[in-house]
Amino acid sequence: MSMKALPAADNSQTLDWHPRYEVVIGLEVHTHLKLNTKMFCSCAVIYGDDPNLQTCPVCLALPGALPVLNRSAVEYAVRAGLATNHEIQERSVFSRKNYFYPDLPKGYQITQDSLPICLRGHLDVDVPLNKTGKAGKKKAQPDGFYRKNIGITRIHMEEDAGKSVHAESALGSDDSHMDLNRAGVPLLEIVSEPDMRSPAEAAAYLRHLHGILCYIGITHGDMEKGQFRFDANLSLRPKGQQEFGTRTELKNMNSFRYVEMALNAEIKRQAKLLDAGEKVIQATLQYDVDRDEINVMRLKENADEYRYFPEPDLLPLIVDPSLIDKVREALPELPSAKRARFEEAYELSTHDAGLLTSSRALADFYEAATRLHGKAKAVANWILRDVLKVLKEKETDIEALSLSPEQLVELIQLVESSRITAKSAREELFPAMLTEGGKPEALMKSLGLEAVVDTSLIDGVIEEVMGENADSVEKYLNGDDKVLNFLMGKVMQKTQGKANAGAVRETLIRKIKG
Amino acid sequence: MTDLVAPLGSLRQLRAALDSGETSSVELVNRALARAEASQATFQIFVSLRPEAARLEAEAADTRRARGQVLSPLDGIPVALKDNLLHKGDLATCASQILAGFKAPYNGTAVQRLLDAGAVVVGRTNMDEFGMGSSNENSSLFPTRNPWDAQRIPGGSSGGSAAAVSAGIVPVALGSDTGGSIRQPAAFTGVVGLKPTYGRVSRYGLVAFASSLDQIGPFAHTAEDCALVLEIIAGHDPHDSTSLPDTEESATHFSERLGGSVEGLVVGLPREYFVEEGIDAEVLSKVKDAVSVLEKAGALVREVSLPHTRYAIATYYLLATAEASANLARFDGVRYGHRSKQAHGLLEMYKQTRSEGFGKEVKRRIMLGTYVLSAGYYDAYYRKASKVRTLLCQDFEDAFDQCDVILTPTAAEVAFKLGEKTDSALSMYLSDVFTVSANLAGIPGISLPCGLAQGMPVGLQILARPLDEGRLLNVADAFQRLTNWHEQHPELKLGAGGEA
Ligand SMILES: [Zn+2]
Repeated sequence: MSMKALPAADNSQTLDWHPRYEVVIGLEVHTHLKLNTKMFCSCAVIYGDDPNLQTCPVCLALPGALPVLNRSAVEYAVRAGLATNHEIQERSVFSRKNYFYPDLPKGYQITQDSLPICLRGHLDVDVPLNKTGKAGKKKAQPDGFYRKNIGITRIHMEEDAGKSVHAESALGSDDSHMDLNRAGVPLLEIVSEPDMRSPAEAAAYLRHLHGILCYIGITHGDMEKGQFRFDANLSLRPKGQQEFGTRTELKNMNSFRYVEMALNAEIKRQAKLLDAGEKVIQATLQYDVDRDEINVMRLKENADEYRYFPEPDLLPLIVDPSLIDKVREALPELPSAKRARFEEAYELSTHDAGLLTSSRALADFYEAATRLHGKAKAVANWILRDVLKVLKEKETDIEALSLSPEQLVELIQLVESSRITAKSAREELFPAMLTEGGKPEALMKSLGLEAVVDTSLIDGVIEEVMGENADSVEKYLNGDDKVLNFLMGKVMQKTQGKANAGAVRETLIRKIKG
Repeated sequence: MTDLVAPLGSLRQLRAALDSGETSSVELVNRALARAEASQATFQIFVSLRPEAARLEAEAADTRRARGQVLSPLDGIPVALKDNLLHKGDLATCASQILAGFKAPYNGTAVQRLLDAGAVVVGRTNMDEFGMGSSNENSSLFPTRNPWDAQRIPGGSSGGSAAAVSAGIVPVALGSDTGGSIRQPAAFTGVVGLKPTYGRVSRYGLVAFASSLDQIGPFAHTAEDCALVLEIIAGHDPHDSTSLPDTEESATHFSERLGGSVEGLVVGLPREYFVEEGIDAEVLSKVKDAVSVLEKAGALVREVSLPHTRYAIATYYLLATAEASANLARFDGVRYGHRSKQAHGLLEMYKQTRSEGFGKEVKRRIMLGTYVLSAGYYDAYYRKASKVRTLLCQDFEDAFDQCDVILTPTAAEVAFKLGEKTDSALSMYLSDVFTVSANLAGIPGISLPCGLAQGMPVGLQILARPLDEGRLLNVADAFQRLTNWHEQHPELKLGAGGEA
């Protein structure tokens, strides 16, 4: 498979994010696995159920209950590890991470500590280059990309905790309640190296990772539901200094946009402290989106004391090499490879190819439509402009949209054969297709959207418009080309947009000049 | 107090009586309950009884028997459960205030298998709180007394279950053994106590003390009775990841395979266990007599070595307390059990709940275990202990290259007096010296009576290779066919102990 266009992985291609300090960012991602049952019991994973319905002796941590590993989670972890270039460990060990909190029923979380299932991974991430305004507003389209290799320390398996529900009781007390439906939901934690040198790199890494994990089908990745969430470690050091500065940890974020904003705010805060000769204090932070402000949750005076030790209720996890091979063979084409192929095969820009491969379903849709239609560019334009707009408006994905590649191709072909104007196709037929369904041609006819091809009718309207706007005609003849658009607009108005724009333009010029 | 009903006898005797129609399950259960109730004031063996439910279950068992639908050798037999085994709907407190009033919402696997076999649970037996103790004095309720002498402790932590069998209340009881908690009380009360291979019996529904050491096992009067119970409760359980797979090797027809001779059996005596100092001379001589009995019957006796024995106690207490500190974290007052009424705020709630709910020894061990796992101490304690554990396993592997079974005293002395050791946690810990290694190595061990010293029972411990319960039970059974120590029972002296 050929790769093209982008500069090769090169860590020196880093943006100077701050004039005086080098920014150092590491990320910890938690992703829920797309599994029907919990990590260590057979309770169902259901989002939004009534509190504590999906619980059993194991996830309630009743006395005497014991964990039993969900074997599917192992396959998912292997898949995630292989897709992110990890070495899969044939032997890994579960550990207990001990701390008290009401959402943690056992008083410890079962996780993996010193012997996780995946070690030493990395990703080549394409980071958008935005020449204007570093921390400023995002342009719709970046000025390019550079490729950055980001190391991933490890991936390990663990269970999620429950949720505190602060219910306002009738007495107005501050009683807390626990919902343990989420307790024991299978998670992967993916820990990066401190390799990111700007918030843009952090966001690009997160998007890339999210894309991969969704592509390989191990997570729904719904960020609103907390299925993909992350913590960021950030420190600054004077340029040229080798050792890392004191780092702070931004907790529990679940939006690509906010993580950039949060990191920018924290960079500002730390830089201000350092500029003033003060020290950054190790702390856990939270970002207030509304105020664009960093809040300190708690100071970390000492390293966290979790008293990890091997979980005696579970045997060491042995992954059979044949399973690793099986999973490797079944891995789908990953987004970066697919994007590179799209750029090459369909002559798309990096940006457009990136959009078209942003989900596996969309990429499949595009390729199916392209195969039917034959012209990759035309199909890409329609999807990039019209389909994506609808997806964004409706906050949905292509799978949920009632649109088949066949329908889209038929629509494009109707425009190409001038059966309908591009304008009515886009503004009327396409939206109608999404609500009514059915064959575009039939729908076009029933809605009376067919283009006016009767040249005598167009001729009549053009003469009428020329008569009413003699001064404009005059101006055009004197070399003012711009008025042509004005005249065309008038014609289109009178034909209610059904006239073929190319034909109108041609006739108009011929008639004025004639 | 002269109306104490006669002791029930062994499982084999009761089965025969049921089969011949001489007695009924209802009668046996009634006798068990009567004896339990009559002896409770003096010996305090039970933490709870379930007379109504037990009688109904006994009736059902009699009905089955009348229809010829006997479920198993345990059908209709009254049994007792240690208070850390979950039996749905019944209290399960581990003799701790933190679980006062807690009722089990499900059946543990071993309990379920007993119930499926038709056994009738008459009550729950006292124990050292959460299994932490060797005398039963760490029960938060009351100390159980030894049926042989109410001034003395019955051993621990499964002292209640041992005493229930010893006192002739039930022919069979279940206990759990983390560092000797079945074998030592069996020795002190003159009954047979079996700790199976780690993983042989599912731990699901056993309230965990130290997960890598805990194992459920039976108390009975004979090795044969233990074999019958073991084959019912043993076997793979998908709810326990550490439970062993059912294989040819782990086949459980123990009782059918009893009756072999010890001719040619190689008995190993570990040099490190047969030392003059630290062992009561009378106890040592009884154990040596037992060895002679087997030798005369054709067994070959040879000395073996378990060179790391002297590290066993330290290793055991480091690992067991570390695991316990995490296992007991779930008792936090949030979801069930005791919650302090004094506290305001989360942190205070945790502190008060656990301060009020746990007894002194449990708190001591939680603190020890927390310390052992702390940053900066983990390598010196937990990690080192884990390494020594590997060496101890190797010791046994090497020893079993030289012999078929290992014989040792179960305890260095007979049951001591109440209060004798409560001042020193260390001297109490040291009383586990002969038993903890089997837990660390995961091997099976059995204790059986082999004589009396100062009028109190002496225990002989037999250890075997992992999954070699077949041989273990055979040797124990052979010994019991050659001796009659197991037929000596205490005469219960009610009112003799008084309140300590
Ligand atoms: Zn559950």
